[in-house]
Amino acid sequence: MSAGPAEVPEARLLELAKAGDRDAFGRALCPYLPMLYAYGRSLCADHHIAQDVVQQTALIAYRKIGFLFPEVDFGSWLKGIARREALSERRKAARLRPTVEEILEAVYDDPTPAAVGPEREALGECLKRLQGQAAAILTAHYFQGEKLTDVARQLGLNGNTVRTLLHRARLALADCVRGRLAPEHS
Amino acid sequence: MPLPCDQARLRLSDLLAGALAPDDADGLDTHLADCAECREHAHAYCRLDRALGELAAQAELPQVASAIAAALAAEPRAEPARAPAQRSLAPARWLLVAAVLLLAVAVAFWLIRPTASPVVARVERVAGEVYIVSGQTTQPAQAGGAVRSGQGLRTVGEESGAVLVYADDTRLEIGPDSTLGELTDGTRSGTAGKRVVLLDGALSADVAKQADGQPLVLMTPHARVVLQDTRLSLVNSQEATRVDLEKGSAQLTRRSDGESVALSPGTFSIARSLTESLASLPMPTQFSRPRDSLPASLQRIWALTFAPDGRLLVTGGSQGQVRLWQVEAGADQEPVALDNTLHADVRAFAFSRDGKLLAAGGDQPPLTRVWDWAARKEVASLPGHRTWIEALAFSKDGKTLVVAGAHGQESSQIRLWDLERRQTRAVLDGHVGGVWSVVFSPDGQTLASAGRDGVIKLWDFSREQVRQLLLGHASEVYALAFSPDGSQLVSSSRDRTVRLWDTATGHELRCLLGHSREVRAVAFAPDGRTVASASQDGTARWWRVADGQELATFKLPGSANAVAYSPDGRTLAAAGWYKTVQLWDLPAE
Repeated sequence: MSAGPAEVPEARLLELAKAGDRDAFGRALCPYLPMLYAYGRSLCADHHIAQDVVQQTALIAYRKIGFLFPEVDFGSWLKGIARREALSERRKAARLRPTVEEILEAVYDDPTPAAVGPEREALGECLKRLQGQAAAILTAHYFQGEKLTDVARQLGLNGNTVRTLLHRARLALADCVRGRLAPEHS
Repeated sequence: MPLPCDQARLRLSDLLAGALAPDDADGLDTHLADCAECREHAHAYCRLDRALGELAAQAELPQVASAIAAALAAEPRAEPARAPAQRSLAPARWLLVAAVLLLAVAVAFWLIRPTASPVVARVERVAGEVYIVSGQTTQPAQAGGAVRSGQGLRTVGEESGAVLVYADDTRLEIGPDSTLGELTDGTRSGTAGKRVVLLDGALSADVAKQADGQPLVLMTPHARVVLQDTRLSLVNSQEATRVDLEKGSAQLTRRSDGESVALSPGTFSIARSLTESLASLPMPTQFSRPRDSLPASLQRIWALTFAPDGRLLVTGGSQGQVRLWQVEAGADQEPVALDNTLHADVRAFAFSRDGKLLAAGGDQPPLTRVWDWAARKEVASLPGHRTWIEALAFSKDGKTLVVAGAHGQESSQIRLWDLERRQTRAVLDGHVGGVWSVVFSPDGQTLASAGRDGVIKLWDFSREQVRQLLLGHASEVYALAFSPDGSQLVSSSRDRTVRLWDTATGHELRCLLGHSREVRAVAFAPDGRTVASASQDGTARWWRVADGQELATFKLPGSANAVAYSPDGRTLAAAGWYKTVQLWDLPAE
């Protein structure tokens, strides 16, 4: 028994997936799941819908894996499928506008995770330092998938206050991460 | 009137949280189109949103991944890969190809004029929910019914199962929560042998000597097993397939790299999608006679623990009583019941480090009671947590009792009870769904928790914050235990596996595969060299930590819920739905 999955190149896994190996497909897909989830969530602002988007993306990708040509990057291809799925969900909510969408597109252009290495560590540390209602709201929203209206009800606050506190929590997090990554800090 | 920058940024926050009205979104977009500084801010802000979303995804992943695995299992094979050159075919050529294909299919259909697919096997017995799957449709399976070529079978639920019998007396016993893909009969279709695909779950095969010399081929996502005149059992998990061979011979091939091993009777092998050795290992020693079998009368046992001095065993079960058994008195004894026990089922126990307090939790108010162990008198009753209690743990100083449950309105909350002030000191809220287990590290600084979301969380107890997430289980995590030095944690899960984790790095060290059903309980030996697990498959298993080898299998009369080592490490106690408590002398390693 060994300490973890051995590295099998993505290209090899995709070859096996194209031959019908579901397990190989699952392993090739796995590293991209967080990105797909976050992307679905950003586009649809709902963690349940984000889960559906990821699941639907996986199924479509599996069905269409024969059409993934070697010159196409697997992560970008998955993101494209997720985008179409999320957009079809988003039409129901009709929330995005061209400039915002352009910004989100740019942010998700890179299929590697948004925060890796020191940035991820800094984010983790800063999350731990968040305190009070802002921390509770941010945790409920991101990590428990709660809608802000439900968070407001649970905390006995009005909706505007909760929205403002969430915004401040994000700003405080961004400041904290910047501070920890600044050269003078290290 | 132009939107001020701070308002635009607040609107972006609302938009990402799904709380922005469409009209306000228009204003935001106009502002962003004009304001380069806010666009830059928005870019960084959305990147932070992505990073948080990806962090949150770690908690969602087990659920999403298992949903995807289940959905994929129901999918037909992926469309075959096509060469890029095919893309350059002109539309007219496509039409020609399509027309020729249609014609060929029509002619083939005319020539073959297919009747119903041939019968591959008969359903001899069904238990619980069992379905025959045919393409996208499912229908309940019935004893005596037929499974035809191309159909699959699915068992759903803890008590489900089915037996399939082939015309040549080959028998397949399908375990609970298992999925068989398409069954094919190679003797008719011209391929080598009968083929069975186990997509998930467990089965036992008793393969008759084939008159036609054709073997049975068992496939799983990880392995291909060719067998003839054989009796074996096969368990599949997300990462691996384990094959235990009772008699006959079988050839096991790992699908990821084609490596192969010939299994001989009395051995087992585990095929993973990894590059580790595919060795054939001796089957663990089977023990079917316990040293003692204590009669728990009508009680199902949910929880048991040894008292710190090792002389008494404490059990709790379906009649609300906390019972005390003399470990050395054997089967011929009447247990003593603690006074003021709970009103319904007793689901969890914990002793304080100094052995002075015993806590028990149940599923009816008052949910948790605490006794002075020496005096056997109740000293506290803790109300107010709206969940059945499934997990209890005393802090190292004995001043805090950690309480959690997996059913009811507040099941995702882990409560820290201040025992002196008799009130909740803090609530740790981080799991999605209920919590099945909480345990403290030996130094008391780390609290580990796990539950329905399949995520194990290590909390910094003094700061009440999550320090580490342990991700790997594909389903609910039922039980946890720390090694005596705190460097390792063992967990057991509905995904049929037991896993060992490095608590410093959060890395999974080993995945122990053998149980064919969910693993309800797990314990670390006092010397830290072995772990024991108890499962709904009716066994307790004993594993060596150093190499993950299964050393012994203890056969129990039924599904097990609880397992514990005696403080001297020489006795293992297990109990469950079968209303006795089994005590086993542990052999030398």
